[in-house]
Amino acid sequence: MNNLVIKETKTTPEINFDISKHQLNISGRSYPENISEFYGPIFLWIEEYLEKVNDDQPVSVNIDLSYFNSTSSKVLMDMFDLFDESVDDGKTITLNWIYDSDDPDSLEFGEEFQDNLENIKMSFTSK
Amino acid sequence: MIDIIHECINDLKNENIFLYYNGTFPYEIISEIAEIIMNKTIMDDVNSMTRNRLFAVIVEQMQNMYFYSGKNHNDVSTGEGTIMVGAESGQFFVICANKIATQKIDPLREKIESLNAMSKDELKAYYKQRRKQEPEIDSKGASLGLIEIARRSRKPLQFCFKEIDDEYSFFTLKTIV
Repeated sequence: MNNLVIKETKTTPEINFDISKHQLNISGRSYPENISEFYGPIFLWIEEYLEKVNDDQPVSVNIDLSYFNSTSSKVLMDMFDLFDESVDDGKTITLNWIYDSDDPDSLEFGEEFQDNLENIKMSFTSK
Repeated sequence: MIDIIHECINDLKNENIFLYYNGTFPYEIISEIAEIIMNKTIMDDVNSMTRNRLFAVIVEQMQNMYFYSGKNHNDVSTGEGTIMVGAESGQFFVICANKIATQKIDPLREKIESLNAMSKDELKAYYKQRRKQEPEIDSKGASLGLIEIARRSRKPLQFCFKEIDDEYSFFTLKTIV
């Protein structure tokens, strides 16, 4: 399985999923014109990765999004649910929410995801 | 005709509107307008929370027009409308106007009125609950756009409908950030 790297555009975030480091980074802005076209391959990659990675291998997911629209918010929720279920199945995943300390909303958005997750305890880092 | 242009521009200025666009909304226009406003508010030293809220409201409102103002329900290419962005006593406003099928008025009115009746906490709870559910049947997104707009708005959403003919009406929505 290969790393997944997608360059940032005005409306889509940078994707940098590194297998050797077990780091899954998403950063930038997310409001794609066609949500399933952009996130479809990303979900396929994540599903395959979660099947292959060892349970005791620490994986860190880092989300650093300065903006995501409501449709992306739904997709992120679905993505975090995947990680949440994997943790329930025994995987070792940390989910880091990187927020803008000047914008209280950006921390709140992260906390709202946490409210809807059962197994993962998110960590919050300001930038 | 050209003799009234100056007057039109002055009218917009008097309403404190600094961006006006009328036409179709291909996706590049949406991101371009959002970008222009982001750059302007950075230059004007607007705090980052207000800046991000304005950006979010502009994107969601334009996406609503992009998805729902087409002549046919599934035709996004003809989505046409108007966006205006302005500033007034330290606050920003976003006005979007577009044609919609008259039969869509009642459900839309009910939706906006129910959002306007909610407190910020209720909107937050509703947003989280909706996000966990499947989108509504006629939705092209996650059915979250209007809730998102209401959450970012400082005041209840202002809106009006005006009948154009038997089939179509004009829908205007104003959000204050």
